[in-house]
Amino acid sequence: MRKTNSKNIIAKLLTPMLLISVLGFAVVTAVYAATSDSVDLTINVAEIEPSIGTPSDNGSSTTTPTNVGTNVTFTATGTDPNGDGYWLAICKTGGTITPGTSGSAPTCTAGAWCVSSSAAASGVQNSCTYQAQQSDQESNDWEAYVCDNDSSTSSCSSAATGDSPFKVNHPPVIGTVTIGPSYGSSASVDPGNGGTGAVYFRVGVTDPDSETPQDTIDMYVCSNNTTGFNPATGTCTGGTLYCSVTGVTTGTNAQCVDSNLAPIPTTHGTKNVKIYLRDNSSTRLADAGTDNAQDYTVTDIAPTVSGFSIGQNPLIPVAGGSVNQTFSATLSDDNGYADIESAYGAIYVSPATLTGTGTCTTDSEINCYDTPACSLTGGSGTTVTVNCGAAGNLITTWFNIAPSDSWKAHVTAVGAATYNLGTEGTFTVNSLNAIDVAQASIPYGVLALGATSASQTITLQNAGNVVTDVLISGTDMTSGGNTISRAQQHWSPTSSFTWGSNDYALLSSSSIGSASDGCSDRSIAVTADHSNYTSSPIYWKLSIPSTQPAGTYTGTNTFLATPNNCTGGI
Amino acid sequence: MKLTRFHHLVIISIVLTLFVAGIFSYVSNSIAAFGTSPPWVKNDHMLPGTTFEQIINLSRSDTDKEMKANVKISGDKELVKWIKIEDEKNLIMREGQAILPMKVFIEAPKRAELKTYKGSIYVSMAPVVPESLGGGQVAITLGANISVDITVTGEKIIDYKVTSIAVNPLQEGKPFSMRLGVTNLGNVSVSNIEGKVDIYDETQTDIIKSLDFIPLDSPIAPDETKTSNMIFKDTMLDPGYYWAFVETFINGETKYANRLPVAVTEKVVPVVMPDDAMADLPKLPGTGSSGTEKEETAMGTAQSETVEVPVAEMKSAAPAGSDASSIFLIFGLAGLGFGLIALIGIIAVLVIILKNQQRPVQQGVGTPMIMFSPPAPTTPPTPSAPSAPPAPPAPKQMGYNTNNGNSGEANNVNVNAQNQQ
Repeated sequence: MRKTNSKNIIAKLLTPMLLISVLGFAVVTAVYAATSDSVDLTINVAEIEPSIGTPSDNGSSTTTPTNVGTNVTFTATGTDPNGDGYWLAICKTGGTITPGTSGSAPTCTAGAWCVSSSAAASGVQNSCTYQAQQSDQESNDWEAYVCDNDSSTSSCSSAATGDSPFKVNHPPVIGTVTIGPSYGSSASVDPGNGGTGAVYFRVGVTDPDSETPQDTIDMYVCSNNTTGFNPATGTCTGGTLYCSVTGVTTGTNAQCVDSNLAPIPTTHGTKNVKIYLRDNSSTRLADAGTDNAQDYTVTDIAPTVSGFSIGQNPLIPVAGGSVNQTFSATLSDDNGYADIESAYGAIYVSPATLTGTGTCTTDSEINCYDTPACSLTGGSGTTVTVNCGAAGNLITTWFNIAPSDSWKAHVTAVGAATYNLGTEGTFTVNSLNAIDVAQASIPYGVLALGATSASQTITLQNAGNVVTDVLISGTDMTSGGNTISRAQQHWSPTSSFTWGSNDYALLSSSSIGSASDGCSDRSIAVTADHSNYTSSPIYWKLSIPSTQPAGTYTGTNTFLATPNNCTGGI
Repeated sequence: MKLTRFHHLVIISIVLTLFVAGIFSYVSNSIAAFGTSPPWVKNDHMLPGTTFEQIINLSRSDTDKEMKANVKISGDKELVKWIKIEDEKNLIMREGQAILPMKVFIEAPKRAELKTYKGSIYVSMAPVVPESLGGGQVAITLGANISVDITVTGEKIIDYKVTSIAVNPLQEGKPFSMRLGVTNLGNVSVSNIEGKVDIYDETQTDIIKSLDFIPLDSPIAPDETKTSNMIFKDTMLDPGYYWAFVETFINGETKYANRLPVAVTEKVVPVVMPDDAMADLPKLPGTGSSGTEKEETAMGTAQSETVEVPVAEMKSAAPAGSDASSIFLIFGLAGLGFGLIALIGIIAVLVIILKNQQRPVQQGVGTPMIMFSPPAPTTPPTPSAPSAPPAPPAPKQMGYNTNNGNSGEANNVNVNAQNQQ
């Protein structure tokens, strides 16, 4: 209660005092205004340049350089005594700063690394960024200025170097690349590469930066499907790492080997890889990617053939007919069996020859048969079976095929090229001594007693594959119980022979010897065309004795092929 | 013009004449070609007391008639006695048959004079069914002379020709073996072939094994051509692909060389058929036969009905049986559990019924009845008793609201961030 009373007393005293004071001040002011003279007062306030705190490139140093393509961020804080905002300019050394006009950004006379994009308030940190370029030096000096943002008169601070210079880390450079069967060789790589299956990579590497500590270089060889390279982890993004090497000195060769990149089988042709370099800086900068795509070549190895299996060995020809021959073999290709696209073959015997592409120089029923297509079956790994003479591509040999135990079965493989393979199978063709006769009988016809028939032709034909002679014999002609002696039949190689003169009487049995033994030295050659027998005619005449019972007489004459062992030339 | 009967006769006669003439004009006068392959029997190294055998193939071009081969042997009188033709009286080329192998034996007696003997085997063919000829005609038959040239010698000659070599199919754990086609060209049996085989790896760069030939598993008689095996019992190859470089020699001179692919397949092991595997599973409880008995049965079946599969396949197949076993075990235990619950429920219902029947009727307290629904709190649950409706689940919306709260926190963070800016 006492407290309330005190407050009321104070309020009652202060209110009149306040009113009196206000009135007094008004009276004094009015009196002063009425009695004073008028004075114009101008105050010139000097424009004082802003000051700059310690600028920084934020740690771009030898140990933590700025990679080409990334930014250096410069920061500094400017203070303007006039309270103006300020620009931050990071200038290249060797020049000065020109303040901007009308509040614009200042200009570095020697060129700027960067100028802030806007003015910052006095006392507030400003910044600008510079993206390191491939063309930049490894060490780059800079000096920082702050210039006030005055619309009328601008001034700049003195230069401050802070932790200049900033350092740029340049990527290593891919030099000469050799990929091949050994280090430094760019020859094509054979599948298996001599049993190693290895592919060797050598790359000349250079790091443009030379400050100590000198960067070393790591090399990574990635598969072609690699879509990128992670320099931090050294991994091939999306692909497979073939091989790598680290710590390679600049100016030397980086080399590594993938020992299973060219195994057997490996398809032939160009093989693409991607090679990446990175330095060993703290920032692990990889190369610029311009020469990453590299390639090498896997040799197209000629296939080989082995393991011939002959369908008919010996091949036994059929008199006047044909026999099909088949053969198979194993084709091997270090590029893989699929490298062999097709094959064809031939069978032949000397003196026949094959062309450079494995076909008969001259097709011949006697000594050379082509088979235009052979099938390929059972392909696996490097091998595939080639089958020649199967249905659809029969090797039809004829009776005139030359007898020999040196027949060759030949295969030509077709892939990227035509491979006339040197290894051949061998087989035997048996000798065949065979004849045919164009006529089914000797038609002497109706003869009178004591008469001699007209000359009747018998065409002897060679139906085999060896020169043949003929053994001639026969039976008496009979009619019921009556007989005309076989000796009444005479033969001669001359059509117009006179019966009983320079001819040969038919014998009951013949033997090897001369015509008088029934051994006709016809030496009928082997035909070259199965549809056209080689032949030799002999002529027959029958003389009817002057006393002979009438009747219908028949008999049988026999012609035996004998392999060219008759003598006498008849 | 009207045709008279005479005109008709003339036309018919002309047509018939042309028809007959046409037929004969298409009849080939040629007879079937005939020959022998080879056309000789030769042996220049027969030992006295040995037999030489050679097959002569009789062949012909036309096969539409059944023909019989007639054989006549002539020559040196000793040789004629030594020559035998197998089934000589029944050498018939059937209709459709183009080639008839005729086996010729030469049996040189022990006291045969050491010299060369010559002779001939004349073979002529005649139709089995004789054909009739017109008058004044001489039929023609064909045949061939097979010359026989035999030299009896006292010198033992070892000579052979390797005609083929192939590697037998190989499996892991089985010895490397080859089969050789050999013709014995000498006059003594051959069982030793001089040669070697180098087994290379797949790349043909490293020799895995180098083996000298060992004796054939069966000897080859003089003049016999036979395929014989050569089994290298101590040589096993791991599964994979190899190449065998095979070379044979006679007196150091290479007579045969070939390069053969070799494939060694994985060893196969017997596995139980899927049906037997199911039989091998544990039995459900209460199904009678013990697992042990069944297991023995399954084993017995497996031994008699097995298939061979590679080990790799077997490895991948093994877990399947284990999984099936687990499933059956789980279902078995579950069935047992349900059975026990049902039994307890039935007992409980019976107890309630008995109690209610014994309880006196109490007016005003309640009506004696069996309480199936809803169940009394103290009544044990039975499988048949419907359970109390479940409490309504907490609205999922609540959960989402909670999540929204979290989302609100995220918004708050954003606001703060904006404030910071």
